[in-house]
Amino acid sequence: MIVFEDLVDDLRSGDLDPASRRQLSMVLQSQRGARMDLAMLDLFDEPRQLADADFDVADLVGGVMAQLDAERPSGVAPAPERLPFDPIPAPATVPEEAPKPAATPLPATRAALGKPRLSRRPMTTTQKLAVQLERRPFLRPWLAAAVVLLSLSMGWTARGLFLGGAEPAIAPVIKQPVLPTEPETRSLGSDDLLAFAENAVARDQHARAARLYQELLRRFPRSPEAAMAQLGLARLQLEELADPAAAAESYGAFLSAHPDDDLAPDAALGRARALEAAGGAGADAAWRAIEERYPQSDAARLGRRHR
Amino acid sequence: MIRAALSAALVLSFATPIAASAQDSAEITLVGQSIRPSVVRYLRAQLEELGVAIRTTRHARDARGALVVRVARRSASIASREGSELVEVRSVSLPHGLDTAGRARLAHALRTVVRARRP
Repeated sequence: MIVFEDLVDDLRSGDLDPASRRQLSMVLQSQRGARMDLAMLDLFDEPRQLADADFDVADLVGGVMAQLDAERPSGVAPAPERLPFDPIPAPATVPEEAPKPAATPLPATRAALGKPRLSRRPMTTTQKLAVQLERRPFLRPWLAAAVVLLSLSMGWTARGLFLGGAEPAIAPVIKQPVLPTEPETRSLGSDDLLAFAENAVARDQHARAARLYQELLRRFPRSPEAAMAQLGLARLQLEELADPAAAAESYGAFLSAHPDDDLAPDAALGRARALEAAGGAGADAAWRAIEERYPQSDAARLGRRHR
Repeated sequence: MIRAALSAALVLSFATPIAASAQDSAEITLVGQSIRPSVVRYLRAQLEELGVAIRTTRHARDARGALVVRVARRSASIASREGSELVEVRSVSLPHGLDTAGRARLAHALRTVVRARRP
């Protein structure tokens, strides 16, 4: 039976015949440990070449082994002179009288040796976990059990949250009607919104102006501009959008919110005109209310002229 | 030829004051020390449909037109010309001066006043 170490020795010494090469290839493909051993041997070549010319690794190893043999108890058999698997091939015998190359600089890097640079990136957590599991295989079933339990608990939690019985764990979300909001006006204040709306009115962009008025009323109902937005919207609905019913509501909202405002007679006049345009039954009462509440106003004068 | 020219000049001399009087009746003068041009532009745009011209002056003695609006810091008074005198017909409060809401208040009030004085 051919030993793997012998095949490696033959490979590294260059004496590997084709049949042995095929066998070694099969071993390397089937055993990861064998591949790692061979890689370690290749890596060990570098420090050997980096060593000083006077420093012989084989001598060092031999000295250490001799010391171990000397300290070994007498009952233990001495170590063989040469291990069956010697990863370090014996260095070429150099005659002592041969002159040593004095001025030849020793290669100091892997690049100088023509080898690729070693990767020094730290291992990731997954790689560390894989190494630990490789070293401690008894942890594998425990880790698998932990993963299964965690998955089950997550599944149960999800089932309890989202697939509950009659009563859902989370109250259903009631969707509120979202009024159209122009993206460019979201950051504007009430003052700017009113200016934008009236600018739109001046440009005959009546639908946009109405949206801006409504957005102002929705976002800033208590602002000083809200009253003017209410009046502006009402006038727009009555005179431009041909919606007298909505205009009457807007004027009524203004009168309800600001009954003592300076512009209340104007709003009452607009409401009467809107009700009359809408054909409602309250138009006559609205005209009379102007006469009663604001008798000295221009609105009352217009009301008398109208009748 | 000379007679025709003199006749035309005579006619024009009578016609000009009449035209000026008609223009004055459709004119609103804003009286104030610091009325911004943006306010004037806004009022012109708002009252354009009524065919009203807007002009400004710093002193009331220079005011002409049928309506004179004296703009103070927190209010505005609208006066109507009755013969040679100005009679105040309405007052509008301006809580924050002639800001966006204030000029809108003034425009709403002026619209009603102008309509009430139209035949």
